[in-house]
Amino acid sequence: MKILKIVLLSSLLLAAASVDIKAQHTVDLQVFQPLPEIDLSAFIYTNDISGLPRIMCFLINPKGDQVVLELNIEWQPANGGSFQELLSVVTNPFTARDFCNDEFGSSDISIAQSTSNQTAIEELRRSGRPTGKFRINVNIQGGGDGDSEIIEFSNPAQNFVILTPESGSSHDIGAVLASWEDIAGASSYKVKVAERSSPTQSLDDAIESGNPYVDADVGLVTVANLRTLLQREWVPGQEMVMQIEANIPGPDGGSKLFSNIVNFYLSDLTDGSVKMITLELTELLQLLDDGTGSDLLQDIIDNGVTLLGIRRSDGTPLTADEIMRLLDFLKNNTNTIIDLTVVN
Amino acid sequence: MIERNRVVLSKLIIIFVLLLPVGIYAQVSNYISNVEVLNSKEGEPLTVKADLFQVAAVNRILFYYKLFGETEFTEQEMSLFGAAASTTVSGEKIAPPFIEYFLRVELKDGTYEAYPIGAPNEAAALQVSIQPVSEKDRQIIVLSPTPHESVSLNDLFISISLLRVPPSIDNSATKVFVDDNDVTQMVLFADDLLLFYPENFPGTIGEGNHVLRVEIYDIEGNFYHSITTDFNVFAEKGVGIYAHTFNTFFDLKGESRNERFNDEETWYNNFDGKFRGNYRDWNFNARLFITSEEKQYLQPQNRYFGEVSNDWMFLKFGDNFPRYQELLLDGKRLRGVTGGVKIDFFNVQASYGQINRSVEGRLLSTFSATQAFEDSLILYPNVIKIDETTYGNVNYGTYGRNLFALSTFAEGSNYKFGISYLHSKDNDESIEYGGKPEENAVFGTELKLSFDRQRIVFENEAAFSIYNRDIRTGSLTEEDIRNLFGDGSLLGTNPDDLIRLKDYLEGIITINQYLGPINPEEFSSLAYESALRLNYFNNNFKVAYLYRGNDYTSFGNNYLRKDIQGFNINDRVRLLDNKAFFSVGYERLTDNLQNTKQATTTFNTFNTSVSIYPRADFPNITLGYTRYDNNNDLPSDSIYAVNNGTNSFLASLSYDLNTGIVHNARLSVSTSSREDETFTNSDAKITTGVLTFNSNWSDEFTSLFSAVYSSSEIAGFKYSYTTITAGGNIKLLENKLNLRLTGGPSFGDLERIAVDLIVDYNILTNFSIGLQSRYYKIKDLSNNSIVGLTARWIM
Amino acid sequence: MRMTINLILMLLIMCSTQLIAQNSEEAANSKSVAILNKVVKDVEHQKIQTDDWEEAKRGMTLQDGHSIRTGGRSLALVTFLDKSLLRVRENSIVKIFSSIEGTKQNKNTQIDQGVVNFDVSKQQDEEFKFTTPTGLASIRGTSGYFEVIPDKTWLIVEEGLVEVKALSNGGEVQNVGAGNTAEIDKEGNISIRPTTEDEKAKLNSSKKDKTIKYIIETSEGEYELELFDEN
Repeated sequence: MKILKIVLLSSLLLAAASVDIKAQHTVDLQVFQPLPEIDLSAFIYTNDISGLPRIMCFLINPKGDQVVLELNIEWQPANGGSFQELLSVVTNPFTARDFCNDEFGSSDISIAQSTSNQTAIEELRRSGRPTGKFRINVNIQGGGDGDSEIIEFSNPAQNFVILTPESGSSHDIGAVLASWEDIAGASSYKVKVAERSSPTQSLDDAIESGNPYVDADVGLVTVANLRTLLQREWVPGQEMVMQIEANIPGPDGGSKLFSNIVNFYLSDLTDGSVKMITLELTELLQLLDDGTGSDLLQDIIDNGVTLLGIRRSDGTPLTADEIMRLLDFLKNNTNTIIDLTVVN
Repeated sequence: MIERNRVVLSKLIIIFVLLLPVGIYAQVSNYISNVEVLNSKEGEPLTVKADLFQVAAVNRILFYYKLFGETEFTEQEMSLFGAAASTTVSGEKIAPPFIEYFLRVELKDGTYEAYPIGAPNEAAALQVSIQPVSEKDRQIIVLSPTPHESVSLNDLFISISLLRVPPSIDNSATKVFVDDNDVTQMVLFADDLLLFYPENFPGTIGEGNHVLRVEIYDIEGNFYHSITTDFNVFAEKGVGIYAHTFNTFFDLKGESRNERFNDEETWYNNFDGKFRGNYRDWNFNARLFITSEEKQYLQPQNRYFGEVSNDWMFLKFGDNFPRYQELLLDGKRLRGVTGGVKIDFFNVQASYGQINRSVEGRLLSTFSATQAFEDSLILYPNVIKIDETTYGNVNYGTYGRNLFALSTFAEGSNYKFGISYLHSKDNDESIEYGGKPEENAVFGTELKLSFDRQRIVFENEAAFSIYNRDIRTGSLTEEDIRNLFGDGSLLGTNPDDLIRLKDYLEGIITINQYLGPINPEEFSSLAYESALRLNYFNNNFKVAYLYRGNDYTSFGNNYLRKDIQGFNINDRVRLLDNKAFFSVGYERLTDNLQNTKQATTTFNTFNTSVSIYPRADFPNITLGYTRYDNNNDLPSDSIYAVNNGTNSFLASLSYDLNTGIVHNARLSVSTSSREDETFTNSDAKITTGVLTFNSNWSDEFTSLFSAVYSSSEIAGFKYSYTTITAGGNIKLLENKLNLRLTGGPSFGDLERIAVDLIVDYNILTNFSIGLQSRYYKIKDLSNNSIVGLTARWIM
Repeated sequence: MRMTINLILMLLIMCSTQLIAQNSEEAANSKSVAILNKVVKDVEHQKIQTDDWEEAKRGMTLQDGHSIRTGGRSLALVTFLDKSLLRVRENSIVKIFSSIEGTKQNKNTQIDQGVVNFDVSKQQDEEFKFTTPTGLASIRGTSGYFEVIPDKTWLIVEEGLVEVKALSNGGEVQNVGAGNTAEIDKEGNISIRPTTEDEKAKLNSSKKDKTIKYIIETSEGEYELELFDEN
């Protein structure tokens, strides 16, 4: 092994000696900023690898001469401490030009040597992704001006939560307060609000509706009155769904983080709205103290199940008014109810 | 003498009437050759049959009848079969001494002719006498169905008692007919009781009106007497298994709506058709939704769906929403197939289809490599390398993404154990300009146990995922693996182990440097949840623990909150004979499970509410309070600092006041206040009060009045308004037409005038149309109108 | 061929006897005196000389000595061969005794607990009696209502006349006319008074034997709501 290292070092020295350095070269390092998160694979340096995410570029001047690039990465863990050596890479000589990290290991910019700090590498690997700060130092071997940049990884939560409106809540058409958790590293938030056309529609399906009521980039604020973001008028009685999308910058389009989806209602002050009918049904079920209908009651209270409608045994649906009358009658004549069972 | 003559005359008339051939008439008509009235007995169905000529000219025939003492004829359409027409009047309406009747033949040319011609005005209607119930009639007792009863096919059975027949009758010689079909062989004779269960003889009795006839014979074999009764059978659509016929139910809705927002006008046209059907224990469901919102550059908006199911299997195709373990796949639209089989306690379910439709991206501009570096464009998120010398700025499209899921589980009333698998992959050839195509596989298991009649329920669910963030380069070769993995590599893993597993893993997921998790020993892609529910002493108690590693990924449930662990505990108590409900809950979650963040945030949520339903002359009351507290203990000037708290209160009162007119008053006040202690200072306060007063003046007319006040201050921006709304709802045309008109102004920061007119017209019991017409004017901002017409047809 | 069809039909009939009606062996031994014309929700049936309660089914025949037990929100509609009707309401237990002689059917219904509405269709010389823990009633009229708890029996007479006899303390006998309610307690006291409005409402409610079903469509599936409909 020692012999191999000596041979490698000797050949490197020989290669370096053969480089005809005619002028002082400068390398200007550009890094993707901000870069809240990335895969560890972005920091793999090996030959014959393709498809690496482009997160840093090297602008070398003057161009055309043979140069050797030294890249050294130091790491400071997220919980503080000092920078420690993570890995370093030396290329074989190549013709000076501008390039990015995704060309490392290619035929003309091949890697001659790479070393790493095993302890730090293992610690990082256990995190599963780059964390804390990475200081990247580049130099042209044999003299010249190098450069250095720091990338800080905030690793935002993979999903976040809408605080208000609460699922299943009702609001006046002018008073829907949207608020959500901060996402460290987000460059902006987008609020999307769409109608849920039927309570049987899944929330995922509803948020994908083609013509949302709100589809607005709100910058970095985490609260908004939805009234001020409306693109078209919503109407009382509608059930809406809302989702926040956080934009996390990064190569290949960056990434989007999505909040959970919440549903809420626009208050309809008249009887007959889904919300009112569901409330009326809830009150009825609460009057049945022998456990009849307790499955449905539990579904309504715990799982936000809403009443879509009632139909007769011949299949014809009751109007909203008929439903309200039926429920009202049953509230006053609970002994009329025989059973309420799930239809499989 | 006169008295005696009168008696004789009366007897003669009675004899004459009784001897009238129970109605064989021959009247002059251009279309009817003969009319026959069958079985004119009190309380028994009366059948009228007409023989026709010139059938081709006849459009329909109506039968008009009038009971003794009635002033108006009742109309009933006759059924046409070839050259004959017939109808049956329910026995319920047949009473002595006679009924009058005539027929009206409506012709295809729009004219009509009565039978007898000119009836009932120019010619007298015909009469048929009705025989009163006799002693013999009372000897045959139909126990079920009762005469004229309307009974569901599920509940139908025929029972006849011969308790009262004289000893000279041979019970075993009795004959039973349904609609003239002899069903005697299907009848069970049990002493004096005759029983017929149609469900054992599918197809013998279907939906509609039926006539039951029972004939009894004496021991000599001579006909003794018969009785006739009628009943109606209906199918319960959508309720259980109800027939041996194919039952269908269609619900068709169409909508055309115009929305105008200032000068921008948008039309929305939708059709939504639903179908349900069943045959024996087979159920069929279908849906077709077509909308003008379907656009090639969006995910599909049209929906089509079909389903076939019975007790032991189901098959869904089209846009379906399969449900597996919640951690794997729950509520996601899948355009494809889902099927399942249940054999006793053993179940298998599988799904395959597309969850994302490919939407092509767009190349917005191109530039040279030199320009890319010189202008620092090279590191822009949306810049791609087109070739060695050219770069481009693109809008990334969406890859088509397919998903396969499989679950097998054993399930009984008190247990469930199952394992599930999900695989999903982007098709990287589906579009030209896309970001990173991805691939995902998830393995899950679930266990549910319940005890003491489901009062104790223990639920567990766990899943482990592997996720490849970029599959463009495909799987690695053995050489690549040796090159990339191993000691000193950021990716870790013994390359030899990976090479050994490669053959197996490759069948599941693409193996390259983007495959995660690389730290499985840290449980980064593990998710599990465990919950215990207790239902005792009017308490619904639940305590749950959850853990979701930061790398856990399932394409079947994209919006699951991850990098979180903690517990929640809540209880709902029913008090005072269900007149009061009290609930309380607390949740404490923390993130940063794999130490990838600068600090760990703790999310605390506390909520409680009480609802009181006194059921007496006192308002229903609901009070609620929620507190959110999120903090990561970083200094407030840190850009990563999280430190905010939100208090929400809700109070609502509802009161029914019955003064002959029923009034309902509701008052609700809610307030939410968020304090953000970080440098972003995203404070928010919103308070809303709503008062409504609905009055039911009559069955036809209700009115409403409401006042809303809202005041908010969000990040220093104040917004307050008051809205007054008044309106009413009126029913016209025997409740077929419903009109609702509401409107009113808003003052303050929202200066708006709103007018809503909603009209629903039930033209037929199964066909209705609706009109919505809304107008909103917001001062200095917008003029909006929504006008829409919907039609709904149920068959 | 026809023979085969007849054989199949016979087999089917035999199966239906087994499945829907009752044990044919027992049927052979004893005459059917009534049928269960309707079964709503939880109704159980007990044969003679057994302690087992079995699920009752619509269309089942009942014999002398059979019992019927109903659960909460349940109903059993018993129709005797003479078309007399018992509506056995929720949480009730009744035992049926009946004998048939020629064209006559004598009936005695023992009500252990619960509510029973009756509608009698009897001939002049037939007996229709009810026995409760506290009293004995001979029906001479047509319709009415029993409510029975161990210590007391309430009888509402809607039409006709009922002779009631207390079972203890010497067996006092009184006649109860239409529109009156009799209370018979365990001490043998019989008190008769006009039926109150509340009792009339109970009486009317006890007559409801038609059911109606609705399907409640919710966002998470469908529920079947079954109600007693107005007759």
